[in-house]
Amino acid sequence: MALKITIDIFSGRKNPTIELSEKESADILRQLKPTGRINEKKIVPPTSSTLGYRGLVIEQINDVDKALPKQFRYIHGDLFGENLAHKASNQDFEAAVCDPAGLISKIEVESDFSKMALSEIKRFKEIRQKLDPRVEELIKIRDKIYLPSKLCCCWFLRCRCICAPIYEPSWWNDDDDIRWNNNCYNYASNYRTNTFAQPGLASGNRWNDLSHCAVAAGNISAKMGAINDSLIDSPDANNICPTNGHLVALVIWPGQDYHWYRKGRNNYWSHKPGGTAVTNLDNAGGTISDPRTADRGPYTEFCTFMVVKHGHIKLR
Amino acid sequence: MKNSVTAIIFSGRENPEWEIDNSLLEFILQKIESFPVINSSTEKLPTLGYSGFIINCDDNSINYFIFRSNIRATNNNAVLWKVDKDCQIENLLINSAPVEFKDIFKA
Repeated sequence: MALKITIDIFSGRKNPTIELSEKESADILRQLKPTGRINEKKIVPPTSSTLGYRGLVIEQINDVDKALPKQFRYIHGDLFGENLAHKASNQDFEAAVCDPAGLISKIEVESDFSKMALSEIKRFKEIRQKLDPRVEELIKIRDKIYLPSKLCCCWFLRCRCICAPIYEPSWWNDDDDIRWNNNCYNYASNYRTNTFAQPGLASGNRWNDLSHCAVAAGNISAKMGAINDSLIDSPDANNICPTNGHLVALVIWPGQDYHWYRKGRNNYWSHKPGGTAVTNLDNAGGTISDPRTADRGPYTEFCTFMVVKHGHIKLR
Repeated sequence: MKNSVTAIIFSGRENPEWEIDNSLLEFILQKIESFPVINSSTEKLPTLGYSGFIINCDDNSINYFIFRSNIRATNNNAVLWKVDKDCQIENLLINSAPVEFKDIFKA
């Protein structure tokens, strides 16, 4: 069987890929042979959501060595894949690939690529070794509550909204055009349109009834408009951030208007009242830990929590 | 649009905006001219809900922001604050708003 090895390192550019013949692959597979399962207490699973080096992705082409899955990942001597969380025979396979005289010499890369890649491999190893000591406990909690797959997690499983946008009010406030032409919906969704976006407008089903959160049959509420824009209604979120995407909240000024809040990475909420400045304070001047209990002025009706998945929504 | 007034009131919906009569605008500007100057704003703006009016003059030279007793005149980057202690201008704008918007201010 032949092998394809991808150095998973870039975000925008295509990753370098090395294709090996059947003869070359046989030796490589011996080096990658699993020698023993990683101690469960010491497993540091891979993540696809970090920048820079993330491991080597090895794919078996045509015939498959049954000792390994068709596709798997190698990181710092560890192997991860379907039914695979093992130590590899060659604990330094990355050097065999990325050293200037290693497998990387089979393809055309920049002259300093080897040096860069080896530095990145080292940096990533240091990050994995410094993993928060609470992670083990949090992995147990996570497995019970949230994630379906043990291999699908983020590095720092802290009690914070790690997938939420950061609080950077100056970006929204300092430019007059941005501030004036983007409203609460733009800000909460973290999606600048410069059109003072309206829920449902992008999908052709703009809201037309702001009497309450729920409206008469046949009418379109602000919530329904947002769902049409692919925000995900999460009424039971209970102020807890999702594992994917970020949390927003919709409130209603009955008969008049709607307003949105977004939860930030530091667990606090912020908002942008219309064309005015972004702020992390409520109407009483206090920080917002929960929009349900914040001073919301005339927006007296708490409607729902919703989840914004980056790249999924469209606003106009 | 010619000389216009925008009520800064909503967060999601577009704010109400309407043309202002020339004679009313002239009256307002004369009134503003007579008010004393202050160093900076003295009114605390609420975060949500009604938070003032903007008068835009059609030559885009100066615009005025009015909230309660505070009036801010902005001409390019120059800013001047004045105090209208009886909130005359704000009341004038509320009372002269088109009928369809008057209910919003009552709310």
